[in-house]
Amino acid sequence: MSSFNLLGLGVQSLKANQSALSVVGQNISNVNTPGYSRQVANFNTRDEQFGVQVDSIQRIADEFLMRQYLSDNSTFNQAQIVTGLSNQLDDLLASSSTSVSTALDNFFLAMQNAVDDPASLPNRELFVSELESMTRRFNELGNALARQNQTINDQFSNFAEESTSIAINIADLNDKIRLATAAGKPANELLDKRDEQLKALSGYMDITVVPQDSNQVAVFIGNGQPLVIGTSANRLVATQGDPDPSQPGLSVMIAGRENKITEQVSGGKLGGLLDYREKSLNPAINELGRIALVLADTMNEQHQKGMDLDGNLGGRLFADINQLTSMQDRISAGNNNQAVLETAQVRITDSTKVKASDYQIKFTGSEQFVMQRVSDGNQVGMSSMTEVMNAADVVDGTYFADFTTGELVVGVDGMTITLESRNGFSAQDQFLIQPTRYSATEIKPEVTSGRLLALASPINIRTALDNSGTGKAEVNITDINAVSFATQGQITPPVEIRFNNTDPLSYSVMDITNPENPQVLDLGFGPLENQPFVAGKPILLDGYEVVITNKPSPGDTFSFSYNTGGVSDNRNALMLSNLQQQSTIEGGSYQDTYGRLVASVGTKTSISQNNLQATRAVLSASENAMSSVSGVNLDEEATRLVQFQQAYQASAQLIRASQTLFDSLLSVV
Amino acid sequence: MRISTSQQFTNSVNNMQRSQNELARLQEQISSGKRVNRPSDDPVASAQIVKLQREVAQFEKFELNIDVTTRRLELQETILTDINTAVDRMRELTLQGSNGVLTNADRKAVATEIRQMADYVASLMNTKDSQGEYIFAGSKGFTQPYQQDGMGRYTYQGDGGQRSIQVSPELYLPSNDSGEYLFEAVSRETQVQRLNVDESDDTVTILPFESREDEIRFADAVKNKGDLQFEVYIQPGSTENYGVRIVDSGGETLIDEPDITGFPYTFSYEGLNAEITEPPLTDLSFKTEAEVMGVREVNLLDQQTAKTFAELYGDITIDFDGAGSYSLSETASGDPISLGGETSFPYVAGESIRVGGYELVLGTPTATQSFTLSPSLDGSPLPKLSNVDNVVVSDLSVAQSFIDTNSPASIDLEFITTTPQVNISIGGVAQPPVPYSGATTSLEVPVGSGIRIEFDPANISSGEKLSIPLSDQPQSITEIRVTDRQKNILDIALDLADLLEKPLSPDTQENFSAGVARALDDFQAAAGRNIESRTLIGSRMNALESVGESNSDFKLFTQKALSAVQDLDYSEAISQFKLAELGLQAAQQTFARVQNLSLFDYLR
Repeated sequence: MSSFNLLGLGVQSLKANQSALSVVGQNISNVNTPGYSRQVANFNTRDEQFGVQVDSIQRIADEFLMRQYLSDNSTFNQAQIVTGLSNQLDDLLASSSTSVSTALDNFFLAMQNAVDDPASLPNRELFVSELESMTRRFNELGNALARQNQTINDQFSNFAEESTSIAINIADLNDKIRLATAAGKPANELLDKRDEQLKALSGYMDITVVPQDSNQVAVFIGNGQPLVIGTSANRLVATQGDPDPSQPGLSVMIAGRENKITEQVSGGKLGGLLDYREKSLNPAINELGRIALVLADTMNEQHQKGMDLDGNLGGRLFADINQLTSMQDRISAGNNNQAVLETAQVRITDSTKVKASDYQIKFTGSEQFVMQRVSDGNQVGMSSMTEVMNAADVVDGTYFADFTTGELVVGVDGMTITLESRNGFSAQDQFLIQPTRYSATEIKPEVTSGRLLALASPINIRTALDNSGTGKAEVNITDINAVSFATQGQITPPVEIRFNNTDPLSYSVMDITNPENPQVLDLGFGPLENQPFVAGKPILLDGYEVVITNKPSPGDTFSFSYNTGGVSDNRNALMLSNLQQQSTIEGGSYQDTYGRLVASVGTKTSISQNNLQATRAVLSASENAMSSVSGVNLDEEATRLVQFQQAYQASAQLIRASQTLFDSLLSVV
Repeated sequence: MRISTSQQFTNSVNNMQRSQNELARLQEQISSGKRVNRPSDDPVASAQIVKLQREVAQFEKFELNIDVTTRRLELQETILTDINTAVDRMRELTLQGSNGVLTNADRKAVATEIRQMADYVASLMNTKDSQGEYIFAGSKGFTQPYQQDGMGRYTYQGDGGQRSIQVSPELYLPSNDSGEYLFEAVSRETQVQRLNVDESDDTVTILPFESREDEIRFADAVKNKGDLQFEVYIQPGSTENYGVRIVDSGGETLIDEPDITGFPYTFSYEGLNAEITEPPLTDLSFKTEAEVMGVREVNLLDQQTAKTFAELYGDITIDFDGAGSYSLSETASGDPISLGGETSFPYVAGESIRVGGYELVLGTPTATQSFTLSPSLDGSPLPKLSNVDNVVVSDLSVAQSFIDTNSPASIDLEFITTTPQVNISIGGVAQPPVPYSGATTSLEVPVGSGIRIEFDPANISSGEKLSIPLSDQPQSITEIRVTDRQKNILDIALDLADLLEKPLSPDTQENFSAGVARALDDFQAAAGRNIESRTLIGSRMNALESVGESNSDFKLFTQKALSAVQDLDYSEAISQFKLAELGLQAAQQTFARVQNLSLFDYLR
């Protein structure tokens, strides 16, 4: 054994400890570098001779923890974006300045003033202005929801772009790592960087990372669509919504072809956006729209049964819900449809039956279609609907189809869907029906002046002054388009109901066009003579029904004529006002339904908040676990510093000892 | 566990952020005073809040309604009090004017004052509210209710409309009374009006009542009888030609005078006098019974059912098998109609069956007969059951002796369209048939009876039967309606003024006294109505007051519930705030401590 050996030993040890010290230095200097994994110098004895060497500089990382982190990060990001958007919606619905319920309260309060004093023009004008501000409230809230949809769309394409650039980075890093590995160089920092990129990508969506040769990784999304394979990356793009153009989808471009993955993407910010849009925003827009739709329709219908200050029959309070543009807005066709449409419209026939849902019609053949209600997935095929022979006869649950001319009319849930195609229909053609999507933004007042408010009933009831019974008559208008109301300013014919001295009591209905010469009225079902009287049972007349309660006596008469000059009458206003409490929307009033909407958004928000907390905790646990394995601890590094420093000093002593030995040997010589 | 240095920092930051979030949330609650600031804070409570807030708004609305209604009723009450005072004054004036020592000039002066009082009362009755709406015009608030006509009389232009106002969730109260109720119909005059007759028809002429007593007696006698019919009928088995009777709306005969001795004849019933002249022959009609396709009568029982059937099936064909059962089918398509799973239904000849809201009285349907029931949605009525247009008397004396001979049997006709001829039997005894042609429109049946049928042969269906009962004699009908003509306070006053202004003579003394007595009665009635309506207003105001009280109880209750759901429990929130504050402080302090611990500090 030579003293040179000792020198060599000292130098090796010196070198090894020096590089260990520089690893410690690297660790200390990167203590705050995100994504940095601590490194450890691996010492090893040299084979077949004395000495030490640093075999490798090991990166301390755990692949399984990483995988866990990626999944937790995706879930957390989804929860975070959903919660953020939900909070916005929650605030929108709650704040009293946007709350539709308050606006409705004010509207009905103004209406009550008109009920109290229908002849007062100031009261009427107040009603009109409250009507305007109430519709504005609907519009504002509707627009705010539409804006949120727009924000989501913008974010959607941004996120797609960002994901694409991350994918490109990963492919890039894969390339560098491959080269470094081939050259046998350590690629620790590159691996850290790639892990960082993977973490960032997992914030946008769920990803699956699969290791490849030469330390490369492949990244798959959705149902296994490749985003990164080795050194090449695919582009992720936001595509035009199909069939709803206002709601873009997501595609991955593989070899120049668009592959739709909207339905398959989950997790992360993109998954969060899609989830929120589908489960919270769209239902909220639809429900708000339904309230607006039913309000406009039921109010219009009742208002048209009234008479205004100038003695004319009422017009509409709100703009017609079945305007051509509105009917066309309610339906959109698929982008790849074969059918060339001439007409596509949805007419609301009974707003109270309309559901706050989208519907899809899909053709499974050129003469076969199925219809699906999106909200509950309820699917109706052609066979479970009744076919009618005439387009005009279509009611709920029936359809009219003439596939040779390309005409299809379907009745479902209070609406009639009309499609006319120039070239018939083909399999895969699809149509999206959104009955209430734009109703909240489209609702607007039609009545412009207080004089036009139809607060009075058009029918004047005259109870003969010498009636000796206690009978009390009321009328309900059933059809304002009936012949009875066809001539302005009169009831055609004026009618008298008189009671006859029979047992049981009976009545006859007389046409008193000539009061001196009353004729028994016949509405086509035979003369209404000596009809048995049942208190409270409606007597059906043309376009209206009369309800007589209590006990009339024989000889009593009630006559019905146009309510000319009846400016102080508030019967129609009362009916309008009563609508506030009526169950017009699936067993609830307008405001009940709004309350339900608020509660459901609140519940969803509250759930998403809890969800966010839970996923945050999970993510931070997983972060801690990773950090606990890979993170730098300065105290630990300080210890190592001292450790290697001492070893370095000792190695130096070895060299010195070797020198001393050599010197003493020389002096001996 | 190994802790990395960056982890120490991150964790501390996270902890402090959490505490700060909690503090911000509590601070929001404390500064707004509300536990629920957005629906997600408590979704269930927020739905309740929307509901409770609406209830509070409702009760506020009711309070407003009660205020408005009370104001209206108070105004109405004040005016009614003023009117009552005026009516009292008019009563005094009446008594004063009736004093026998007054001269014509004195009475004229009294009359003048009464006219002035009437104008004053009219102005009260035309009162407008602050909005310019006439308060006693019923629904016609922009129409002046009492307007003077050319004769200086006031007529009511309003109607009987009453405005209902909602004052509690379940209660609607009228907020006004119409002039019609308050001032009209104070005094009543019985009026007898002929319906369905030309001015020229003078078979029955109603004479004026001879006295007030007669008027009242008649009005009482026909009260609740409905419209009446005067029937002047051919009277068989008598030397006189005609009898006369009054039948009420239920078909009950009130009086029957079988023998009219000579025209014009004066007929009396309970104070009512009418002059009867001989009716023209064309006015006489028989009550006939037809039978077409086995059906004698079709009566509408329930229009709703008839309409439903018409909507479902359209016209309905009833096929009789002649052996006691019938079936129904849709006329247009021939599709059989099944009701409750049955397609065949029993019948008994001569009795009635019920089909789709109609009662069909049957004759004797034969196997081949089918009757079409065609109710219609487009307004065209059911077809006439008989195709014979009319049965008339062509020669009175011949007809009368024919009826005398054969009554109470009936003439039964059966049309045979193949020949064509009419088979005739009287009381079941066959008579020689009478042939007819396509051009025949009138036929004496049987020949020599003085009774003719009028028809269009093209319309007649084979086997159609017509029965002319001779017990039910041909008659001329005059319909009359008995109503009360309404008189208002102003009419009474002006009538009285007219009376007072006429010079008094021994001839007019009786009339004068009766007039004054009547005026006094009427004023009494007016005062009665006035008190009655003020009592009504009073009770309504009481009701408003108590409803108002219970409303405010309910409102308070609802507000309490709202507060319980929505408002913050300050003591709890503040103690939570303190706790969170303490937590944050602790987190901050421990962070500072932990950061001081570094091994590097000890490496010197």
